[in-house]
Amino acid sequence: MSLELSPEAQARLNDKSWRRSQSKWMLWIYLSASSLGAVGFARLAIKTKDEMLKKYAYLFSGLMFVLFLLMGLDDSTTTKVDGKDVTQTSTLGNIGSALIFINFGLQIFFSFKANKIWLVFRAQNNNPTWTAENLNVTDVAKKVFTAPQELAEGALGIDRSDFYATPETERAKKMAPPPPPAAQKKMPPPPPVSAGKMASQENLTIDLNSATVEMLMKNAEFDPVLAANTIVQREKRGGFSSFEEFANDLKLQPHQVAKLKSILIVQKQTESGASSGRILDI
Amino acid sequence: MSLEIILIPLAIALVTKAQTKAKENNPNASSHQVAVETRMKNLELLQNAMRNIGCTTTMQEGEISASLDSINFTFKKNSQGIWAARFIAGTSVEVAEQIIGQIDKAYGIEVQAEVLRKIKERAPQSGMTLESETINEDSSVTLVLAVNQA
Amino acid sequence: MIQKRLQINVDSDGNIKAETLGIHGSKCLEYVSVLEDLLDAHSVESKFTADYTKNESEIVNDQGVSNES
Repeated sequence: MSLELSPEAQARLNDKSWRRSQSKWMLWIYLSASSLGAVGFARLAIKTKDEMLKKYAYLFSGLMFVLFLLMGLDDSTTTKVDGKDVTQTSTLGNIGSALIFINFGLQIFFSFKANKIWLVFRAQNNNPTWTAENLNVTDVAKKVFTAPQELAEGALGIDRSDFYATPETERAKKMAPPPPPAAQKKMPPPPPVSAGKMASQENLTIDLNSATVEMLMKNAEFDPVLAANTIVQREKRGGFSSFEEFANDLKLQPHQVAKLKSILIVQKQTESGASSGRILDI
Repeated sequence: MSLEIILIPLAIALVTKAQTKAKENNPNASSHQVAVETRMKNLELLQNAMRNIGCTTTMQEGEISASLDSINFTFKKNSQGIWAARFIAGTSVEVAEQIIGQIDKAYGIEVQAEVLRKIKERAPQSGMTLESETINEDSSVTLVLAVNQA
Repeated sequence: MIQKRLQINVDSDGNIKAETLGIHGSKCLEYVSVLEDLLDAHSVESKFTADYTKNESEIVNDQGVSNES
């Protein structure tokens, strides 16, 4: 992971609702009273491949192992004395009880440290498709794409590619050009601008739904923060439907609206032909 | 009223006054200099401002050499087109900031006068008529322009 | 017809505050570039004021009512 954050990553980190949504893994610890906390740490370590998170995962997995061992070896006994139940706890039992609380406290403490690493990783890697392919787990990917034998080679007159995605069809889909967009109304040229400042800028129209941060920053009204926040909001909405929507979301001031209205356009995003989720065996 | 706008003249860089500060280069060295960043961008207005507070100035190779109360300093444009001052060794940071503060204040008055002059000159061409001009207690000037309607 | 005006305040620091008067609705946005050209300045902050939400017909109706009373 590079130490320098891109403007989009910084904008995600500044977004409280995004941070909250990415921190839900911490519930594993609180709701299970730490018994499933090690699973949460392990999940983060697998996804990020971060050395520190791996250490946390090993630590808490080891602690849980020791706890289960102590529970198994605990020979506390309960006897009746004068009609009342009296439990004699063994030393191992006492150690185990103390370790439960220590483990819980440690998991809560380290979960905040781990969450910082996790948030930075997710901010920089906001790819929504967490498929096995992305994780480079080749065995799982092969299993997912293998069709049953009875439908192999067009048996029973059935073309297996109608029902099962194969590596060949998936590759073909990825390499195929996207379908041409539906006929769009030609955007009128921007209205004539007053002489002076506006004329000194290049009057290129920028499509809000496809512009990158660099393209937006070619306009003097876009600083790195506004450009990054534009991309973040666009991703949240799945594309802006109008300039007014963009202006409201980004809380533009009137002078910004006046200057940007003539150079920003909103084109409907084309539908992507390829699906981006896991292929399920039916 | 329907819209309120705050504008900064192009003659002034988009920095706050608080950012006008002096930095000492290598304070441990015996001949350290004091540099002061400013918000001033316009040469003519800067020269007028310095003259108004009693500075003697000479222009040489794109740099302004100036002197005030026996303290010598130079102005040079930085990469953003903003004039930055550099004082000779031995000048304290406080004195440097005081002098630049005086120049900055005079520069602001020059900018005000220049903006008012431009408004009066350009208003008729833009289809506007000057209706009133008021000097307020805080030395600000308020102009009201009527938009000529066809 | 209501007279459209621009009120411009220039302080001794060179800062400029401008207001549009009698210009309603989105028409006032056109005056951003007019003011920048007139003043050789760039806008740094702006906000709409109460009159922005009125449109011309409402103003004319208000004036008609006040003339009759």
